[in-house]
Amino acid sequence: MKIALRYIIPSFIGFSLMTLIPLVISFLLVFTNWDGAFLAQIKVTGLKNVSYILTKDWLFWKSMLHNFIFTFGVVPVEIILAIILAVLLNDAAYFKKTLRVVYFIPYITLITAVTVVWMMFFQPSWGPINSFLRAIGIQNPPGWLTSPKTSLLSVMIVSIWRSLGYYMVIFLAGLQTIPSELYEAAEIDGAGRVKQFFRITLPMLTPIILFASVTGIIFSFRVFTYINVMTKGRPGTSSYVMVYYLYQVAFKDFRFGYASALAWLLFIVIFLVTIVQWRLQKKWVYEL
Amino acid sequence: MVTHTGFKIRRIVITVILMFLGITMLLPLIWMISSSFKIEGFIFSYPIQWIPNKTTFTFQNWIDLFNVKNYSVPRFYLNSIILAAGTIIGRFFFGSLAAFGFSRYNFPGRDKLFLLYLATIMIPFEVLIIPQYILLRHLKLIDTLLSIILLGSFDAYSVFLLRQYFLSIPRSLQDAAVIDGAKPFVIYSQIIIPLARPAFASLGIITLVGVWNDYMKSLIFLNSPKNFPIVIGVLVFHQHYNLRFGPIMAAATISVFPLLIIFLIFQKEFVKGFMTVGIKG
Repeated sequence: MKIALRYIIPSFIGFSLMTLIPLVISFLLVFTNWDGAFLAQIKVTGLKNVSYILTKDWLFWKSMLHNFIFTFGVVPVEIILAIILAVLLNDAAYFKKTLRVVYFIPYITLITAVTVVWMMFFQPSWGPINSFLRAIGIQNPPGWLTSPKTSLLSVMIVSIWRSLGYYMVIFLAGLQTIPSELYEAAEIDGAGRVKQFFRITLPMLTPIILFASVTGIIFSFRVFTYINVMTKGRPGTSSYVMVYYLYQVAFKDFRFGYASALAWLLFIVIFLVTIVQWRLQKKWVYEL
Repeated sequence: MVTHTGFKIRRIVITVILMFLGITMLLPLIWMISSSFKIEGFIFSYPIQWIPNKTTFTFQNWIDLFNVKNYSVPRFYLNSIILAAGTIIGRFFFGSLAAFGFSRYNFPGRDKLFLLYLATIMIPFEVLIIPQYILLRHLKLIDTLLSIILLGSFDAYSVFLLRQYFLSIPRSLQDAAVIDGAKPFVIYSQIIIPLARPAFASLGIITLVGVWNDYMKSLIFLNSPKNFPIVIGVLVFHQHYNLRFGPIMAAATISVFPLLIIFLIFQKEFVKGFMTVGIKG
């Protein structure tokens, strides 16, 4: 006992200071109107923050809606594309390893640097994307980041581009764990490639699909960097998301109490979505 | 024989398609490099000139990049390296000690304590950031690299990852050493640590990539340019040059490449690292 604790205590002290105590303080701040300046000015306001957010704060609801749009746009597309790529790559004749590296590269690039490059790519009047679209005869190409209709979509495209390779590599690893006897047996039974994919490959990949969707959804609800660099929530509030809003409230307005309430609501949403996924897994995740 | 050839052709077609798609994925990066060597007026010319020729080529963007007052690329890099190295060392040290205690010894309340660690993995860092900010402000650590290193060093996930790996190391090795009279620290440093090298490699790689890209923490905890890591530094150039895109592309290129080169050298370890985290996580 003594020996074990001697090894755990250094970590536990840091863990308490950096995680446990902040967690408790953060929860307490939800019920105050503290602006971060003097502790003496702190006022307990009870559930006022939470009730204001839920009933009067339209920007909270809008940001939350954008997070849901972002999540349901990005995660399924990413997973489907990653599975297709992984299955194809598994079948490729040459350069397998090189191709795996090529697709993984975007994930290794510095997030802010490539975000800046994409901003130039999206530039509506002389950026390469719209130049290309005009060249193939599209008269009025979209305004991408500058238009309220497409700002969120543009951010989603960059997000998919950067993390697709990561998910592909995970699915590729999953494909290696499928016993080849299954395919051999299916071949003897005369099952075609498509049937093999839907009856063997896809069911065997379901545990990884679950993992990818859980992590992908958590990431999507916490998206911040792309937004803060590319749009700052603009034009208007068309690309406001929760963490961007929270960051504004906490570190531009220094309304620590209100921001804590926003953070906990975000956490509750992420938590509920994850729980739902766990509960639903019995229905579709294949277990060995 | 016919089906065999058909099979081969299909695989070659797939390879070609994948190569085409792969190059498409890399177009933004290729465009970035190419633009960094172009005279301003030619960057956005269409059709895109992928390789600059005599009239469009210039080194000026790169020369300008290293001549900006107050902002220095080497400094940004040094800061990023300090942040990554500090966090990796902290996680290795504190994480492995705790993981050793959790995995090799039995004591009352052990599993409850470990569960406390596990429970916090789910909590998004946005929930903690305000109290963390207040705490570090009291410690006078705002605008120091140490603040971010401290925040990263005690994460529960490292303890979890290392503990899982330590558990897979056979107990018999430890028992044999105990019979030979080995002290716990000898078991920790001579048996467990050397055998857990793959786990440390994975943890090191995901920490490196994570810290390298940690934009939000740098934004909140660091204010002065001399402390900026490259993840913020590249945006400083973006603002500084405003509408001169050549130097911005040079800045983006130089900030993307080092980690990319490390990745290309250690690609096996990188892919393995992310896969173990992915599948076990």
